[in-house]
Amino acid sequence: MPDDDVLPFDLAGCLERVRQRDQAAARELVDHLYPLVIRIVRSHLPRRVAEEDLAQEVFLKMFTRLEQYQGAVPFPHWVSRIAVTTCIDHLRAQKRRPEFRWADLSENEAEVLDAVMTNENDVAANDAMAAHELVHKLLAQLKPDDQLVIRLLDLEQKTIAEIAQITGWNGSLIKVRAFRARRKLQKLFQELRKKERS
Amino acid sequence: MNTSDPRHPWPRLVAAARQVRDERDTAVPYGFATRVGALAFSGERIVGSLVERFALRAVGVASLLAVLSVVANYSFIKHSAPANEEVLAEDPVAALLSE
Repeated sequence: MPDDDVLPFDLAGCLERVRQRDQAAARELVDHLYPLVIRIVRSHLPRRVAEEDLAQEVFLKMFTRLEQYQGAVPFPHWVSRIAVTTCIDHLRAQKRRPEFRWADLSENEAEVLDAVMTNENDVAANDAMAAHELVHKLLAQLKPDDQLVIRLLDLEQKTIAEIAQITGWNGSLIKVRAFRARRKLQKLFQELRKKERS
Repeated sequence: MNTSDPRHPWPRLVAAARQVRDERDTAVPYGFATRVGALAFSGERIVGSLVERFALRAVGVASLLAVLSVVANYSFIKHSAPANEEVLAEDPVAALLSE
């Protein structure tokens, strides 16, 4: 069957059937939104939390709050916000943040970190994975809300307006959190330099 | 040098990290949608069965009626009950034992 014959997903119709407690419609809605939810969950996944459990929690919240959805924003945006706030709640629940130590880094990660701190060259393409791991370890040092803002700003390159839409926070709050997070990162790099020298 | 300066380690690390694409599968795991769909509606049952709805209330009403009927007929029960002596006199086993 050619791709043109595939009907677009009737979200409004599906939501109406879900409101009438149609389980088949609920399954269709989960199937349709799963890629969106799992991407958000994976990029903000707290430590020691299974991604499938978190995705399930997001969907159950979505069904519980479905009556509150007024259609002011597109439904996928509304679900994205539920997913982001659910991840934030889990991150907040993890009071202890892992300490960032040179000794805990893999050989490759330590080399990449040493390189970016001692020279001004870009990271080599084959070190991208190590850089990715380092970024996540460094972000884990920040408060959950600050982590989210920096991840969205720097890694996902979202604008302040987009972040406001995803999180429900206003622009000023996002800027304050970004400023606080960058200052903390700055301090962290200074400490790492001192430790490296010692 | 602050973190927004391109020479700072952070922007260079992040730029490299962005090159990593998440290639993981985003398809729904087998059974996930069914489980979530079932769980979504399991917590709230709008209409329970008639038996479920009325059984406990029926037990309460029946108990109350039983107590009320005993109270209402207490004086009649008390007066119509035979005295101990009469019982003893009419009961052959009691009479046998009292010998």
